[in-house]
Amino acid sequence: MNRLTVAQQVYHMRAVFPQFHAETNRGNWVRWTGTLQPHELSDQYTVAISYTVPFRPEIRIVSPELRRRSDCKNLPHIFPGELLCVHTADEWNGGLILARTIVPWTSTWLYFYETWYATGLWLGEGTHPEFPQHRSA
Amino acid sequence: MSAVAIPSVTSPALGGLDQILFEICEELQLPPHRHDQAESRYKAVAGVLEAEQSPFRSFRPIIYPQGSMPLGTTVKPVEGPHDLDFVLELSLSHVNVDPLRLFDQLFLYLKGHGTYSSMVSRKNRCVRITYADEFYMDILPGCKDLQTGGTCIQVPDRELECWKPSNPIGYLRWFGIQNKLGTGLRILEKAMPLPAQQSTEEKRPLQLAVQLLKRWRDLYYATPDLAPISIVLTTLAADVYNGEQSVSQTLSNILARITDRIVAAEAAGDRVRVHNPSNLEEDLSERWDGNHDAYNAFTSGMRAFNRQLQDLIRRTGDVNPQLQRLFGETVDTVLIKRAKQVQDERRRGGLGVSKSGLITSAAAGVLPVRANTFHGTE
Repeated sequence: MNRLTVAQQVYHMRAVFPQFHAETNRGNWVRWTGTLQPHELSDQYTVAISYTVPFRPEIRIVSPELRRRSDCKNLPHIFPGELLCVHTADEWNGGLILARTIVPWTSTWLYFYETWYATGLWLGEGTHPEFPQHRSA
Repeated sequence: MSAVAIPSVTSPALGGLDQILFEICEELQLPPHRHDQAESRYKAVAGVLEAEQSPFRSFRPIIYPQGSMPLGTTVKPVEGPHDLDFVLELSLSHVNVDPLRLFDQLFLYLKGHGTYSSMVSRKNRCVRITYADEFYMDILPGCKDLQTGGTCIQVPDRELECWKPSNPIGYLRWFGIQNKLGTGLRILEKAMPLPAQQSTEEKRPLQLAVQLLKRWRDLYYATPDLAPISIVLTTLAADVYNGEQSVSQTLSNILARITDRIVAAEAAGDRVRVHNPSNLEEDLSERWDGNHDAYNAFTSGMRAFNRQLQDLIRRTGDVNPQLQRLFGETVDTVLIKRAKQVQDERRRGGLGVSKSGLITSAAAGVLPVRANTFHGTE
């Protein structure tokens, strides 16, 4: 695997999603903060993505706060700490460009999240190891 | 970037809110088989009324549908039956006819008919045929009003034991003009066919706005007796409509103008009066005279709907909860359909994302979304 450096990831991010601003430690860590709006009638979300090469990037919604349905306390497809879970272990590695994977997946997650919040159904499919009963039509 | 948002499958020209209102209207359409069933039942009853043994035959009856079906403003009921109203117009002056006798003659003729005998009942102005499967048909008997002329008719009112003025054909024409359709209706010497159901795409913004108003009404009023009747909402909407082309603009302007009328009526110490524009003697809102609760329910409902819709239009974020509050489960159906389409596209590898994060169909200049699996422990 040809691992990409922080500088390379920052370069790609700036090219594809210029609204994502990067902070780095000039080493192997970077955090981007930027906005995504998955649909014209959606909220605009401020998203923070923290990445330590080559580990799993951590995706957090800064604002607006993710909402829970009254009939379901758990958000779907989330890691503890409200980190979005947008891929399985084998779908991502440090050789992939975050701007071309993690960010589009986050926007897609947000789209399905809004539909889930409105209807109670997660329609983006996926795996849910500990909550296989989670409703998805 | 010329990316088109994925959910815009039907009318990509419409903007975000217009598109979803349009899709809500699509869900409000009567299922085609129920429309077809209404049509065949209408033809069957019209056939009985025109038959050789019919007491009306010698009066050259003209039979035509009225109300929401020919207007193209029918909405699928939240629950319960849907209906079709039609007119049995006799080609003679009402002056020479006793209104209650005409009414009873219609009732008794159908009562004596093998098919309909156990299905007919008397309402105040119409004879109702109730079918076992969530459908009823109201037949409004009437005679020509030669004094007023044109397409005006007089219909029996059982409670008041007199004739009441009406003009269903004039009303359809008026609505058609307001709707900018401009199509006149031809009077035929026999039963006029029920128009084929217009698809949502063929409908004009006014018709869609009326459908939305009616669905809101069905959900907003917990006490159906207090809810404004369809003809009143339809007439008010068409009367204040000003040719707006976007559904959201049409609905929001209609609500703002109806609210203005309420304020003006209050200032004049009066109530809003809704006359049949094609027969000004017919006060469609006459029930408000003796029912202040119903009038207050109308004014407070209109104000609330107006306020909520203006808020929704001004809102920049997620509008799904607001749409659900106004239009109910139909919104869920639309959102689920949309999300399934997005998911199908995603499975085919056809999704893209714009610079702002908008999910679109993959196209030149749009970043394709690589395959992924949503995972997670919670």
